[in-house]
Amino acid sequence: MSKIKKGKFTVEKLLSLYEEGKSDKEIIGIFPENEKEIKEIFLLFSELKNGKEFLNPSRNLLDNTLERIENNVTETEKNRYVYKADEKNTGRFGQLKNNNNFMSIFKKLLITGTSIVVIVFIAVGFNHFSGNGKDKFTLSKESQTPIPSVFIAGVETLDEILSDIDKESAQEYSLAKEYDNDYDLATVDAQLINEIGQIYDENTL
Amino acid sequence: MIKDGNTDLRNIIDRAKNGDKEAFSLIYNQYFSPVFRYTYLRVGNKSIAEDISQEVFIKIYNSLVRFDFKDNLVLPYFFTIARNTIIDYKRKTKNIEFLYEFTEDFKDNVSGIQENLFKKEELFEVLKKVVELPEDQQEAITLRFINGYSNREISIILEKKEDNVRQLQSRGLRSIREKLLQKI
Repeated sequence: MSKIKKGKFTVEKLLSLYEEGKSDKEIIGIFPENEKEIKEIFLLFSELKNGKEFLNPSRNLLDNTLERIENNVTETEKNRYVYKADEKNTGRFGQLKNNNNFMSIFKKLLITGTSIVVIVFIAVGFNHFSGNGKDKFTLSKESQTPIPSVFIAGVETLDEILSDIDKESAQEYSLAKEYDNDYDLATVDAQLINEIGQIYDENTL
Repeated sequence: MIKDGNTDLRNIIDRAKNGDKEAFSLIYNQYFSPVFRYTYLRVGNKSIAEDISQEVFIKIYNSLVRFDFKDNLVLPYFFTIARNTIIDYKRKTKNIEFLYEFTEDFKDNVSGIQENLFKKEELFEVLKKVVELPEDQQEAITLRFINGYSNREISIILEKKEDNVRQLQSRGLRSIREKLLQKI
């Protein structure tokens, strides 16, 4: 007994019944009013089944593919664009014909390019960190010109700079401390006001 | 005939993994034609379908070592490779329109029904309509009615629910029927 409820005919219902193994006559028995449509769809089924018989690869191909799999290259693949390339061996098709291993060439170029970039980076990095490049480094003409005296006047020694930094940090520390004290004072005031508020109760007076 | 999921196939796959060419030829004979038919109707050109099918089998051959029988079924595995190869091919050649026409080469290559030219013409028309369908409907119809897989197998291959597969087939069949009726 089919699980499909009769109801209105749909192609989905027909397919479900067909999957259950029902023949065209049996399905027509369930949906007699759709006999023509059911027959046409069954005709389509048989046409498509015929396709299975006739859509087959060439015998030659079946015989040779295994052999060619060993080399990872097939003759048909090699000749994929030959029909166009023969007409005019230029442009896209011509290039593809001449470069069967186009992808592998591209990959090689990519790998070589990346390797070169990496080597250059390593060389520059090594040169920079080992300090070998210091002696070779020369100043340009502009940078060799003396610095104007107005800037020289402001230049200090390392000790002076360090002591300046110490002074600045001590000043900052004292400022921060002052701020803390102000904050404490403010909170104490607020607390006192609060306490006065508690002592002074209108209702008790 | 070897069946997907049984011990015979497991042994054959294991042998092929170890480089047994005879075992691989058994797999090839079992699956090459279904992959070819599926590809043919997806690209609509016999020589391109042959190229792609060969490429699919080279990929299968090269990736078989990594194939884990416990987690995968052979059929979805092969068709996933085929689908991806077709997508890749179409992407690469998207500007070359003539590749996707269901060409007259079908008529020249069809063997066995030369005695009935009317049938040949009819079959050509039906298959041409399949090629013209949207991809998902085309896949569902080709795998079911031409390759003869069950909707359960197709649902695994296409990663869709069985009901959805049936719906795609239904839409596709209705569309083919309507187009054929218009022609009459």
